Amino acid sequence: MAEQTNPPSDDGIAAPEVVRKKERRIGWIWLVPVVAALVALSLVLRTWMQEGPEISITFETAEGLEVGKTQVRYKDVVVGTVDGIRFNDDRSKVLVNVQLSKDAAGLAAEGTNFWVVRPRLGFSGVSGLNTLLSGAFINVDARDGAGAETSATQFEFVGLETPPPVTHDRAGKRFMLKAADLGSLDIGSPVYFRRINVGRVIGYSLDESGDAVNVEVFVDSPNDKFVTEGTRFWNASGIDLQVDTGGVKLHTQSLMSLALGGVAFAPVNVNQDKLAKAGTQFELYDGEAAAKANPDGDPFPIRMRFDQSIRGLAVGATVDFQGIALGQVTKISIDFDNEKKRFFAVVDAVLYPERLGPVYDRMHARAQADGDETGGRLISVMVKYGLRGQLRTANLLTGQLYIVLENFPKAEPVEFHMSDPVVIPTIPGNLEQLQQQITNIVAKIDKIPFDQISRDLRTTLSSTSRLLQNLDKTVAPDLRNTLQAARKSLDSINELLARDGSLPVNAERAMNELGRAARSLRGLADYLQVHPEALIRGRGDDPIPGQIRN
Amino acid sequence: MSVTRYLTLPPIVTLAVLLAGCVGSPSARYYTLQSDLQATTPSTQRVDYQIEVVPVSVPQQADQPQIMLREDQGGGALTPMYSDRWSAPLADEIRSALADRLTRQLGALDVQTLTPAPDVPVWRIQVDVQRFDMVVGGPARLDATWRVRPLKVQGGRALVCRSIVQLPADQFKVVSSLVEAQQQAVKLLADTIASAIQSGGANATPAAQSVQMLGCA
Repeated sequence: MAEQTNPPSDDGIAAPEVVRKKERRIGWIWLVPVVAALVALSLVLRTWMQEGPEISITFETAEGLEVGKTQVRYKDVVVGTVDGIRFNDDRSKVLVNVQLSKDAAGLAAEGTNFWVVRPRLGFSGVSGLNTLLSGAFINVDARDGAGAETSATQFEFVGLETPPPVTHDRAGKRFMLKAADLGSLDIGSPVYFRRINVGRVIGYSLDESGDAVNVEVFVDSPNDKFVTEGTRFWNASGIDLQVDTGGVKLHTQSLMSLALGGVAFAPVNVNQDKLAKAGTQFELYDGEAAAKANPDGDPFPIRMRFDQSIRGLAVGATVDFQGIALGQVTKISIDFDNEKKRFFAVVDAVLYPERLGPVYDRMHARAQADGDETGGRLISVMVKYGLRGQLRTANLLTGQLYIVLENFPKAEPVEFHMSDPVVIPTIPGNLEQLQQQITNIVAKIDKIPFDQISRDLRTTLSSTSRLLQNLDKTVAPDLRNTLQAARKSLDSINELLARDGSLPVNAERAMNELGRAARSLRGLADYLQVHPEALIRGRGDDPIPGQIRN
Repeated sequence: MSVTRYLTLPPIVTLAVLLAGCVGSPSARYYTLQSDLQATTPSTQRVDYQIEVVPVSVPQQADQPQIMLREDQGGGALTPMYSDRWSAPLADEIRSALADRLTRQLGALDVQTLTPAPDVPVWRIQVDVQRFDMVVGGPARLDATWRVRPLKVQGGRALVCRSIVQLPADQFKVVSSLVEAQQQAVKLLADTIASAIQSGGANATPAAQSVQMLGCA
């Protein structure tokens, strides 16, 4: 054969290059599901972000509501749908789940009301008739305007069974009226001002104490500016019939008020013309006459205690102050004082301090400025200066009494505590005081035991005479002996102090010696002053003056 | 031990010499105004009254324990003779000398210290010496205002007088001659007072010519 020769490397044929191909882990085909997943995810996200809040509303019944169909409307704009109806835990209520749209999320806030709109017949007429055709829907009433929420803050709501009487978007003010009874008022009863319907009653409830009814009224704007602090509300239902010596008067507000009842108001107290704030409480009077009867401001109840007989004082008697009829008596009753063991009369009266006029306004303003809300400090100052109540005779023939509040500067000071009603101390009447004083004097005189005194006097006199006899018999000789002894001692003292007695002589001698000692000392001192060297050198010679000593 | 080192000889010697130079005091002589007993003649008469010589008052210049000499023309200079002293305060000296002389002259008893009987009449004598001068070589002057008062004496009245007694003294033995002169002056004063008592307080006669009476009342 032929020789096998290896092809030489430099044959001109290139060695094949082995190129290893990279293995693709993931194939392109996977892109498709990834893209699909992304699209799906974005769709989900978009739906999720576009979804609004889900809220649940509690209703008594789900009548007219259907899952998926019933809409939630606000101002007739669909803002959500009912997507679930179920019971709560004990099956007493129905929970309706509502899905709100995103841009209506602000509706899920506090103060929002939900109710089901169905055909309804009320005093104000038939409402909701269009739901017969379209089906019931849930209506929303929320706060709008400047205070509107933009995000959901509350997710559980209690739905109203009846539509609210006043929706949030209605401008006006609410006021609370306190009435003795409801009369013929109901929700929706109109409120009249000068016989124009300016508002309605929106709610009523029994007061907690059970002795009044709180009626809430709503007065539309712009007429709510006519409600001032001095306005009086009265029940204008039905017919107001007055028969008196002036004739027969018949008042009604309107036919509707005949049927539905109504409330009317008018500015009675022209002194108070400030606008009433929303929520102010007023009193609901029974009729127009009662409302306009006493433009006297708030009554101020007081109580007084009288220890004397109040025969002649009747309910309705005047309480007089400086000649002005400031109030009247409202109730008279009797109470028992355990300490003094006697009965006393308790008189309740009511004062109208606004009858005092401008001075009351000033006092009131000053009291308010001082922080004295109830006027307690003012009254305590007046009581301290002698304000007392006193019974006085109004008519001498009939014996009618009235109460006068006056300043008695000499009255006894009385402790005063603010209470409700204010207890004003009293002072007995003049005649009464005089009677009392005479009675006291007579009682005191009565108490003096005259016969006891005379008996004691007699015994005293007899014992005094006995004493004197005793003195004469026994005491006198003793006295004489004492005097003699005293004289003897005086004589001995005389002897002691005689001129030549040892006592004065020795004393004189002692004085003399003392004098001499002092004199010697004086002489020594004088000599030393002149010759102090005498202490060392001794006394020198004394030359005779004017002469030479020999 | 260190102290004795400083006590060296020369300072001790000088100290001893100095001390030796100190002269001692001359001895003091004491004088009294009461004269010797033999110079008086006791009176034998007995009177029914008693006398009471009240302590006298002397001027403060003379009321010194030592004798004060006055110069003749020396103005107001007084020289104290510290070695010549009164044996008792001058007031007591004068009083005792007066009482001594009066009792002898009148024959009455002195009841100044002793208590008299309640009903015995007593003459009370008060003397106020206003001048007691002892002038060197010159006179000795005694100037006194005196008063006699009767107590429980019938018919007696009080008398106030002033007597000035001036007696000459020796130029030599100055002090003793002056003291003697004052003794004599006191005696003359006592005699004058006795005459007033004897007259019952009517008048007083001067005892000698050297007694000068002024203003009796």
